[in-house]
Amino acid sequence: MSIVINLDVILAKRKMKSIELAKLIGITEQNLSILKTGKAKAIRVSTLNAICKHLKCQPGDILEFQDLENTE
Amino acid sequence: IVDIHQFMGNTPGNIHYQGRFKMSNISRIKKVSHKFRVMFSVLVILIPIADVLFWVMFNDLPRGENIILTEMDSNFDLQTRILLFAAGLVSTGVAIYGVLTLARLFHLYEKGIVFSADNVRYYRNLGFCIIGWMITSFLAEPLNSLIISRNNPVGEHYITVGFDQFDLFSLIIGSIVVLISWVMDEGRKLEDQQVYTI
Repeated sequence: MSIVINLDVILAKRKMKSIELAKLIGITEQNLSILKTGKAKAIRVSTLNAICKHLKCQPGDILEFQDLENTE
Repeated sequence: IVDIHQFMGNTPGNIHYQGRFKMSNISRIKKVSHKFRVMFSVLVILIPIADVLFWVMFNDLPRGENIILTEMDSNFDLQTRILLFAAGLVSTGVAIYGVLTLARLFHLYEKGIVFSADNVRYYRNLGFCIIGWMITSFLAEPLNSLIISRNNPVGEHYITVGFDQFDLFSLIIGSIVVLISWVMDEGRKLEDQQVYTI
């Protein structure tokens, strides 16, 4: 997967723990971990909306495209 | 009505759906599956025992046209019964494997696992098992007739081959179960995708 989710960076900037964010956006800590570790295959717009709302950021701040095929 | 998504683990294959889902349905599936699992587990042991007992007690079993078990009028000596038992071992083995597969499948349902790769594999194996049981039974019939007629005078040995509606039914059902395994595999892929959709 070439889309990288940089949640850890934003969480550190906002001084927020994963468990707090998970409760705020209404998902389990396990699901948040799936997002953080890059195992997610899709993210709902509603989830992205909730993350950006509570972290006070833009989607581009947490979503990054890395062209892994060409860099290898 | 409970929102399963919030507190059930996101392990692929677990029963959970987007949005609301009636908790009672999962409990019902698990409860009924437990009963089936126990039943098939017991059958795994009972079938070989029944098979042995059938041939041991063959000569003492009730006879008649309407009794399914013993359509034949003759009594068989011990050697013939042993040979007939041996001839039927492969199809009995396939039947036992099929029942064991069912026990394992319902064990997964008992744990709430519906769309895993194991479920798909058990369905596929079950389908092939039903077809295999039909084929082995079909092949055992001429063997049985040879065994029964082996002591007949020269010129009175015979081979019987038969394909009845029950065999056709087994073939169709087995094929349908294999098809169901393909459908279940699609379900597994959808489930897998959904588990990793946050």
